[in-house]
Amino acid sequence: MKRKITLSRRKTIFAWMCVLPVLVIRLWTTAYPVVAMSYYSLLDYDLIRRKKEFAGLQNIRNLAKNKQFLESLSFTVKFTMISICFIIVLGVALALLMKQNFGGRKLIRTVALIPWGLSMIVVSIAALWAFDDTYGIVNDLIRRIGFEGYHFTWLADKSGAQVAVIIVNIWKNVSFFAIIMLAAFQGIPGELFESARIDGASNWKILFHVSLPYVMRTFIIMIIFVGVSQINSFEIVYAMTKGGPGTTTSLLAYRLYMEATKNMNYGMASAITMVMFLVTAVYGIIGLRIYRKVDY
Amino acid sequence: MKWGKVRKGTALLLSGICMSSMILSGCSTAEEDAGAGQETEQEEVSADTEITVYTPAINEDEYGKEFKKYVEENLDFKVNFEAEPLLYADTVNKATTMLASGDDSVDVYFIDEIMQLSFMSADFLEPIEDVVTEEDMSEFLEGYEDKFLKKDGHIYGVPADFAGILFFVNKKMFDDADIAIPTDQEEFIDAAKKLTKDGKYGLLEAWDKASHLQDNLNRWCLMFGGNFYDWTLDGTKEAIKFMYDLVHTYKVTSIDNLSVDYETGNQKFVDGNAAMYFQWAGSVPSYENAGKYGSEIICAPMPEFKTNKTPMSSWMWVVNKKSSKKEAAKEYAKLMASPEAQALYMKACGRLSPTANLDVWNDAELTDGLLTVEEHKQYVEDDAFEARTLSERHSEYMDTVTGTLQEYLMDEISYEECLEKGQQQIDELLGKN
Repeated sequence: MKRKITLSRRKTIFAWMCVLPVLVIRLWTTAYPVVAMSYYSLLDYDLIRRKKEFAGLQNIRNLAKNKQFLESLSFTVKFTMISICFIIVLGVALALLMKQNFGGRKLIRTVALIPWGLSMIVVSIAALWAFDDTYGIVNDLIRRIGFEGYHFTWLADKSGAQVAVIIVNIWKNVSFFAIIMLAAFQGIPGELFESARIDGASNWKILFHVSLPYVMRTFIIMIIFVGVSQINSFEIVYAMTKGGPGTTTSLLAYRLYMEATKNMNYGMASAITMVMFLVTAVYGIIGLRIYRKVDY
Repeated sequence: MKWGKVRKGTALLLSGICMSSMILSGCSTAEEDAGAGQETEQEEVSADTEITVYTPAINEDEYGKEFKKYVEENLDFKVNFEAEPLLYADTVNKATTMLASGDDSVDVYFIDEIMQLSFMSADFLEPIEDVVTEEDMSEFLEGYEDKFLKKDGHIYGVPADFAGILFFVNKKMFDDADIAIPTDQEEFIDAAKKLTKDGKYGLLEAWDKASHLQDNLNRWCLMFGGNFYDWTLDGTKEAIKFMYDLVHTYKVTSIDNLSVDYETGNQKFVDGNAAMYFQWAGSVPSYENAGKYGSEIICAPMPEFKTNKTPMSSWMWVVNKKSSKKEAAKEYAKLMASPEAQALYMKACGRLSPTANLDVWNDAELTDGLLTVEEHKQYVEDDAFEARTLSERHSEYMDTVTGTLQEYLMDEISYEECLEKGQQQIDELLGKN
């Protein structure tokens, strides 16, 4: 006897049929690389030596002793933390500025969008010239604002190169953060501000007790989003400093690139990817746990 | 969320990864993944055969058309040219990724010696001696073949160009200061000191980490009788100390060189920011385009320090081991060894460097349009050129060892620390093979 398929079951099957192609593509493009990468990270896999042997956690142990990797890890942490702090503060400030009613607001909004619209690789190549000691606009601007004779070799100095890379990164990412925060701020009902003002709240109190709590969920999601992209940053040092001078600006993603495409050591490159994957995952999980606790 | 659930989830995830790893570990061997052992099905060469050649863009000018016509007339199959990225680092990335993944969409690659050594070791390339014989390359620089084209008795490439690091000087700056172009170490330092004034430097160096610092280190080492793969040699030690002194003692060049790559350096030199510059011959088209070559910027003989040696380099044609049209690809490589093809190609891609085939240098018709042929002839006559000493791990050298040298040049580490750390890094990377 034929079993009759109920309407709801048919709907479920139909829904699965619609979703299945996407799921298969997703599994192929995301799950498979993750599994393959995890597998490679356990191998001594070096194309130049034509070697591919199971090595257990040897790659991770080697990384823990590798000075260059540790320097990269340290700079990536520094780069991410400083960038996030400045992006948050400047992004919120810019969003609040763009929210105000004043002449030229549209122009400011348009100008603020420009860095976001540019490709990171283009920004980095331009920055290489901007920080050049002979042609660079940065030294020139500093001289023009009153520091006559100022000269600093930004990209040939350990700290200078790190500062330059972080400044460019912040400049590029602030506008995106600001635009999303602006949209969130604009969603706050006007009555909330009116009530706060009637109760005698100052602008600062309104910001910290009304505006920011109201947009907290967007704020946290943005911190997760921006943080993850900072941990995985690559193009900026690829085009601007090549990880130098020395290894001072060598981000984890750049080290990974060197191992994979230059040294052709896929085992080590996969181990670095694994570390980045875990760092990103931990950061994301902590962020999401905080996000779930926020209730406004 | 309960921690128990998290632990369960994590354990599940890890066991999943381990299971998948175990399953995957049985799927392929090192040799297979590295490209060896698997023969691709070969297509017979016919008029319908089409091969793809990965090369710097062929210009759409008369030279480009002439080259394509020459290829068409001399081969019985079609050749498609795919343009390489403009930047060297991007070219390396793309070629390495394609070859390592077993891609067969490109049959012939145009690569330099650094890639050549790595790719030969990784077994990405097809031996070509059955079609391209040693006789085909008899007119190339002596000793070059053994150093870069051969491995285990097989020939793997056909060199295309011959470019040396030449000694360029800004003649106008020398004339204005009434100084003679230096011919030895003493004169060199003296001239550099005298020409360092008014915000301009006596010497410009490209010391960016990507590739340029290692080229310059190599050259200084050769000039002092050292070897940049052996930091225990007196000549190498002297060269490293000299590079430091150029910035900190003689103050004739800027520490900002650490961020100068060839593109930035060329612009600075064209703008007259420095009087002397050791640079690859391939930069001459940019001096020529700026209207400075010959009038303001000239090529001078290498000054004699301990030696007058300077590195030479070549890019070459190689066949992808995974190509399904190897026979046609080898025919193309053989054609590229001919004097006509060598000269036409250099003009077609705008490199305008002298050809690897030295016989071409004496043919006025073929060299018409090429730059620095006479300069190269003079350097050969002076016995100034030396093929570079490289290793399969040279890309790693460029990242680690030159990073250490940069630290010393920045005064971050001492001379002794630099020598010790540098040699240790060299031993480590050579020990990997």
